[in-house]
Amino acid sequence: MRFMERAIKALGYHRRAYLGGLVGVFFFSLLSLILLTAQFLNRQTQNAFTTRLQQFDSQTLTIAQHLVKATNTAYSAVSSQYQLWWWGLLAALFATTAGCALVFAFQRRQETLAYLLVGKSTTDVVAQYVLENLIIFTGGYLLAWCAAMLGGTWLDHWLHTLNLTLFEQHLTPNVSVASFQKVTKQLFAHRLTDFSGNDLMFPQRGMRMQPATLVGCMQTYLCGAGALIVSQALTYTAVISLQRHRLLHQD
Amino acid sequence: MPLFHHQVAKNFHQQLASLFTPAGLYYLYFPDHASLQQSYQAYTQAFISANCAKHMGMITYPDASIVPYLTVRSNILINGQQRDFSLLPESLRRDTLFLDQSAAHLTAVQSLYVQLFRGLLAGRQFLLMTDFPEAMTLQETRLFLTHAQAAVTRTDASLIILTTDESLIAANPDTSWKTPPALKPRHPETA
Repeated sequence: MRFMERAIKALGYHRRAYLGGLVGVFFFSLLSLILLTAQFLNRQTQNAFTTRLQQFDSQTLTIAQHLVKATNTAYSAVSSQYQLWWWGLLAALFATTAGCALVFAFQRRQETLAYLLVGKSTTDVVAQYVLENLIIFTGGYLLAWCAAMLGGTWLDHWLHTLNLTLFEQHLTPNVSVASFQKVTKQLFAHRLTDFSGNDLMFPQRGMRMQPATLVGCMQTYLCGAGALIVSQALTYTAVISLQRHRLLHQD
Repeated sequence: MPLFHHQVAKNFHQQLASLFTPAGLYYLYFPDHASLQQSYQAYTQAFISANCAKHMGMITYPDASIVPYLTVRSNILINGQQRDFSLLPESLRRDTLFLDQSAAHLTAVQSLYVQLFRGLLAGRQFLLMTDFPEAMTLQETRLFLTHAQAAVTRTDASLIILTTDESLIAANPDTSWKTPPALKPRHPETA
């Protein structure tokens, strides 16, 4: 209980720094949720594309072989691009929290010294500082989650556009407009489908299977918190151990 | 050498016990502040490197060991509470306004009391204290020593005061050292 009291009082004492941290965590969580949801939507669209293809018979599909392959490649490329961005984001969080911990550990030298003089162990002090940051992380994450939930409709629309743009970027180099028109014309000749031309590749809004839900909540929280704990525990342990060593070996 | 830690700690503890029992106030004399500070540091380091930090409390001025964002009460109880709160002198115990205020701006004397009772309530056996702050009047010093004597006797702890004040040494010949004893944690093989 005293441990918790120390952490909570310290949050109040260093509120300006932690307010900045809260904003940082908010943006990290929001971006992570957006990327993971976008990736999920992209995968969902790809599945729907595969389903639509089943409405054609296999003989017709041989005409479109190249197009189907290029489309699937484009979907996968978008997906791995999101994945890459997400890892980049996590790495940025790791580096930033480590950097902040380094600066903060120096700013809190006096306070750390007090704890060491009282007889607290390095682990005890590090645990308190990391716990403070974990509380901030949880707060920032919850705020981002709320924001993403509230802006759901807008986010859904925006992510759809983003996915479409990226998809086109990856598809255009492989499929020319002329060949696309030629293939679709052959595909749709004398055929009744519930979609047409462009909608085969990437459906317009309104044709979507279901409204978007927020994906990756657990992943964002657990991976973010994990990165934060590891980076800060390492940094704080290094700085505080050094401080303790100096305390013990000064003349 | 973690293997010998236990033995070193035990040896060191015996060394201290032979010097600073029975419980009470002990005075170590230093001719000047520089040698006092040096010795204080050496003692502290000896305590910690002998793994005896759990038996020791430190009382310093200027105080580095007060956590500014905790209340005075939390600062006193920072190492847990092994003894009853009634150990505190009544005037302090009843002053809840003071106990619940932030410890950010304590006077030198207040800080000494906080550090003294923090150590005693946590059940520390040896309390190491640097000299009294210069701002402290003779009366305040005397009052502090009276309170400390009473509390120390009740908890079976020893308060070791490093001082440059010769009159304190002269007044307590039985528990004083003109030349402070050397404290060194010994490893079993060198002991």
